[in-house]
Amino acid sequence: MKMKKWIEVSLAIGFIIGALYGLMAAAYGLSGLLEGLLKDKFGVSGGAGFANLLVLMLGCVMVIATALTLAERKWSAMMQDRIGPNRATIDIGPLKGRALGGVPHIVTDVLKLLTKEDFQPATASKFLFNLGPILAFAPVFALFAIVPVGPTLEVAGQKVGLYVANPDFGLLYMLGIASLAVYGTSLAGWASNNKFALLGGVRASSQMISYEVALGLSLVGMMIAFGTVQLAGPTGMSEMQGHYLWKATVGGLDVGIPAWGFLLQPVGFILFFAAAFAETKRAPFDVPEGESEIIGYFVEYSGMKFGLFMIAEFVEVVVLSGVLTAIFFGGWTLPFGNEALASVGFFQDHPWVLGALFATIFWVKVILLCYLQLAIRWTFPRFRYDQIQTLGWKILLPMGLVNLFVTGALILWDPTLRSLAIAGGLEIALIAAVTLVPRGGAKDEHAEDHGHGGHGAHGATDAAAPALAAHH
Amino acid sequence: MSTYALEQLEARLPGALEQRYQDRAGDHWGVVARLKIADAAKVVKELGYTLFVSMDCVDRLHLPESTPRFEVLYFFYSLERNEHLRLKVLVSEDECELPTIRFVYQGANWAERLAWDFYGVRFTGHGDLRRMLLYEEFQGHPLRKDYAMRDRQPLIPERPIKDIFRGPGTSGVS
Amino acid sequence: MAHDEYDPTPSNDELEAHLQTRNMVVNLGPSHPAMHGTVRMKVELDGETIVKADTEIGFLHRGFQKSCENVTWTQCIPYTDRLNYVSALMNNFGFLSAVEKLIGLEIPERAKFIRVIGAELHRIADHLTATGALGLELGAFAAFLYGIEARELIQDRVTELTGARLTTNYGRVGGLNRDLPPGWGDKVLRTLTKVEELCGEVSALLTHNRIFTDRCRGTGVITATDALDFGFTGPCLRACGVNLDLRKQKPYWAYDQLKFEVAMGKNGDNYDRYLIRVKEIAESISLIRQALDKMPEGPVIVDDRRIALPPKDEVYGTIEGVMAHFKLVMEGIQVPAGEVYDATEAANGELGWYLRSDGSGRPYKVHVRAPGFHILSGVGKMIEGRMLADLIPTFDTINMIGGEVEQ
Repeated sequence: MKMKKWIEVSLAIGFIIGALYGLMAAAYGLSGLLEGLLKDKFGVSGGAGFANLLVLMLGCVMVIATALTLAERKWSAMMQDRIGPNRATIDIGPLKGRALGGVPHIVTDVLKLLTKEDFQPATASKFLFNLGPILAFAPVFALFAIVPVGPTLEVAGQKVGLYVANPDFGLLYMLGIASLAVYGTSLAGWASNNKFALLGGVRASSQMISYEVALGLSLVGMMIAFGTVQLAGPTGMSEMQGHYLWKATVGGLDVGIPAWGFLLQPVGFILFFAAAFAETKRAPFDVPEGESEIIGYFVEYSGMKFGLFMIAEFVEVVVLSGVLTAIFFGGWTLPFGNEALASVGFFQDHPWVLGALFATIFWVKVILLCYLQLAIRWTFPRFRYDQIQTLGWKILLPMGLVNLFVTGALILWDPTLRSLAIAGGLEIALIAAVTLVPRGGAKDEHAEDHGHGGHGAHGATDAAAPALAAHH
Repeated sequence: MSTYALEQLEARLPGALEQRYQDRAGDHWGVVARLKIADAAKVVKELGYTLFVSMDCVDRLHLPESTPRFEVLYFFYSLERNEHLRLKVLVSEDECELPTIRFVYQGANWAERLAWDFYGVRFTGHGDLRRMLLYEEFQGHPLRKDYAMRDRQPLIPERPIKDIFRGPGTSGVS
Repeated sequence: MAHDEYDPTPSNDELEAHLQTRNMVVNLGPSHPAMHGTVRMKVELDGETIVKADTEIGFLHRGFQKSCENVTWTQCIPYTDRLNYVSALMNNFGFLSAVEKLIGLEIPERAKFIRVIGAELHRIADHLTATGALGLELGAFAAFLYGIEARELIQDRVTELTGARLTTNYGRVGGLNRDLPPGWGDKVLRTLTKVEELCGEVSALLTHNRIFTDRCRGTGVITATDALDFGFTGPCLRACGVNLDLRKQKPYWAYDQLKFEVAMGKNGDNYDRYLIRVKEIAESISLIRQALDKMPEGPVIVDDRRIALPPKDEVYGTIEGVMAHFKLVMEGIQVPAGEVYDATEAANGELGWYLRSDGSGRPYKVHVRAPGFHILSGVGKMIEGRMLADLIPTFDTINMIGGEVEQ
């Protein structure tokens, strides 16, 4: 029984990775063909970007986000000793009566949302009420445009990379678009003409505005380190992280410590993760939703309009994972063996085969980070409104500033980034030490007078604050 | 249970205690004069009976001894003495009101509202004597013995609410 | 200087003037996720701060007292199930205790121990519900499910004991209507081991979680004086540092033969109430183990045909049996005329009963002193001036149960 389960799970994982690989190979092929076609017929470039828009954003991001609606329930069920969704079945032939891991639930969910009555409160502001879900969904979705999924290669005679666009202002585009998303939620809250929704909308806007600062600040360290704000392209952050800081070759395989972002900037990573998590408005930062307090800014929405808010949340999870991967987890590169792989003759003749492999690695990293986010979401309680503000302004912002100055100084001193990596390693060790040291038992703590202490550092940053202080 | 509190009450507030007796289980009861209950409550609180336990009424309509009609019961508890204090006020149907102890024990606020709601006993000086469990337009008081088990209430049409904190009407507010 | 000259610095009045804002009145409930059961809170908000709060109850009113006055004493027991429906056994036994005190009846030793076991099982269930729901409504869903899983195991044992998960209707005047099922004790011991494990998980997820402690510490605070004044009892009062547990102060049933500690708090905030509930679960587990160990053999109900139903073979075999059975079922137990106030320590505090009998087979008056009623009356005081989000843990830790509050 156990064995069968393992085989089933391995098959499912294999299927997902295989499908991703196929999709990525198709993405390369389609980009190359479309780019060539447009150049030949109309003399314009941009075909690759359009192909990637179709395959990466509509194909990958949307599909993974949709799958996450199921994964969230299935994974949370795993964590909580439940079975999770297993009721919907497709009664055709051999599939009859089989739960299929809950996959048919995706279909039933969509059907339910689409066929529900599209209810509008009589007193709602009609235009803004309808605009809300669109504004919540579109900017989040557009964020993914600058994230490079695979290396730039020669396919069908054209140089194509797996990204939709690579503007010079790279990350600034991301920060700009991300701040647009707040309009969706606050409009939805305001236009519903509902007090709970209004409270949710106000909470959402204040939370997102205060976290935008920390979000931008946490990335400046990486921008300094690589001297660019671009993600894609040969000088973009994603590709730069593939370079080794220290390198050795063992039996033809290159090993070493790559310049991955979370090694160079562990504090920046934690800050960015916390701030971006707050921007996704998911637990423990789901104060605007706060379903047990104020139900949420989308309390008046039903049907697919509500569905848009929900799917926007999941798209945010995927996009955040993608951005994290591209900035802090080396993009599509492996921690070792990149050069060895690139030097294989077969791959040099057919570069798209290797490119698709790298792109698959990117997506696997994305899915793992999605899992991390869901695990956090299902473990932690919700912050209070003022505690969120405290965390944003009093913890994340000063830490970001200190991190910025230290990073700048270290890079000025040693432009090879090696000292930055050593500092990062020390920071990681300190964070791990502070996190793993057990705290006092319940008894002692209860006995002492626990007044309402300052809402110091929270969650992940809890450990980071003393680490940073000790280091610098 | 000792009679300490009752004796003290008698000594400190002469005339407040009308009667003392023991029930079947041997617990002591004190019957307090109707208008002295608020003063008696103050004394009781000073005596250390700081925990407001409970309060309710009894309609004696069908009991052999049926006048005065209502008994209002008070229960307090003393932590130091580890005992309950049982007090009782007799209220007739014609003068169906007695002073509130809401400002002595905050917990009596809701309990008095409940007593008003179920028995129609009014508490003078309460200031916020709305119905507790039933609705504003409920006719009669359901725990009175002359309210039959199967009595029905009229249907109340939807009505505008002026002040969300007060409810639709002002009945029962004194 | 001419006074009409333009002065760019704003005057003091202007600087100190408040923004022209109005408070918002929000209606929470009667159907709202944070309002357990059907309570309605009317709160006036200044931003996120509660300026004024008024609790309105009665949406779950079932006429408990009136119903009881119209049925026999035994028929009241199912009504008591519906008071605190999370811990029905404690209501059953509490009511029976009061009736027995009115009659002046001593119940068999074995029945006393079984009542302790049943009551403590449901105390665990009650506390698990409260702590689990606290996690749930603060957003930690996993803690809730672990708690509910443990509660479900207890409900299974209760089902084996009484035949029902929720509406137990267990116990009769003078003892119990049936003995423990064979092998039940061992099952309970195994269940308790599992419950301990699951409580450990809940505690691991919540007790030292920084977000959780931040949400709970210093919120929903009530001073000991106020708590006494409002009539707080049980964990909510002990969280303020007042040592009052009727199991210790006025031992009833078999509590004087068992060893246990009373969990105490200090600050009267949500965190202390939570910790007390967690500790009381552990104490209850130890109580059940001791009670199972010390429980004597013997009858579970008094041998008195005026009070207990005769055994079935007597009912079908002898004329005396038939008559006793008929009289008890049709006329009810003839409780002597009189009045009594008796209280037991339920999961949420003092569960008091004022009973009045006129000597017929039916109660003349059944007053229940539900602990939740008095605690709920103090909620307004606990949250006024605090934030809206603080209302949620406060409502959870007091563990308001609509059934008993609204009778």
